[in-house]
Amino acid sequence: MIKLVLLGKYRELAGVDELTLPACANFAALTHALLAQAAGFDVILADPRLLIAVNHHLVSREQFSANDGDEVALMPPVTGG
Amino acid sequence: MTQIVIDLCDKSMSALTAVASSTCGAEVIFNGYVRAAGESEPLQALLIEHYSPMTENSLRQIAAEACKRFGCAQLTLQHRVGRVAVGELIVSLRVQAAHRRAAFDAAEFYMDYLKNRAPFWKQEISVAGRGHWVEQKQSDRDALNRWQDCADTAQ
Repeated sequence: MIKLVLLGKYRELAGVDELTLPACANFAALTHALLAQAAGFDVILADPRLLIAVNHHLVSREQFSANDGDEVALMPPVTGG
Repeated sequence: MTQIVIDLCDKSMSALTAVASSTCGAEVIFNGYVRAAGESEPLQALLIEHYSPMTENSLRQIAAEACKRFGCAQLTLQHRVGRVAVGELIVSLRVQAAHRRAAFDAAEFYMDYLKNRAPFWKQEISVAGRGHWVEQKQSDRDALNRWQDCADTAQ
């Protein structure tokens, strides 16, 4: 299983802080798993500026793969400073 | 030898102070504060969320890149997380380098990258208590692009 963490406004869109999901071999598998969870994920996944981290390293949608024990973060565009 | 110090603060903090140096001829200090004017209504505070497993590494990587690119000897950053009231400091940055231009450029480079890369998210809390997530601005993305354009030109 993987741990999925939602940050910023994505947490409110999804209605949850964290989820546990089966391992996902690619971004399509993650999308399939998340759309079955909550309605808000369609907005998050459609965001062209969605940032994805696996085990605290940014990856592209094409690079995405998450194995058992991994932590995946879905992050909106950042707004610090 | 480059010295980098990163500090995340969950309580009120003081601005970084000047530090005299016999090797660095220039020092730039930047302080950012919470303004009362929000995007749509007056504010009482900002809530600054971050993704703690990535935050310090991200800030440190940007610092290392800034120091390498501009030849800075020292960079110290303090950044607030959590609730920050109007008028309080959000960020305090101090850069030291041999010469003025490197210190100014490194400070601007650092803040432009922080705003576009470091995993912080601001939520405005209005005087009436309403929450509003701040969206990343095109002007911040443009500010980042000018450094990347410079790198492209140099290659």
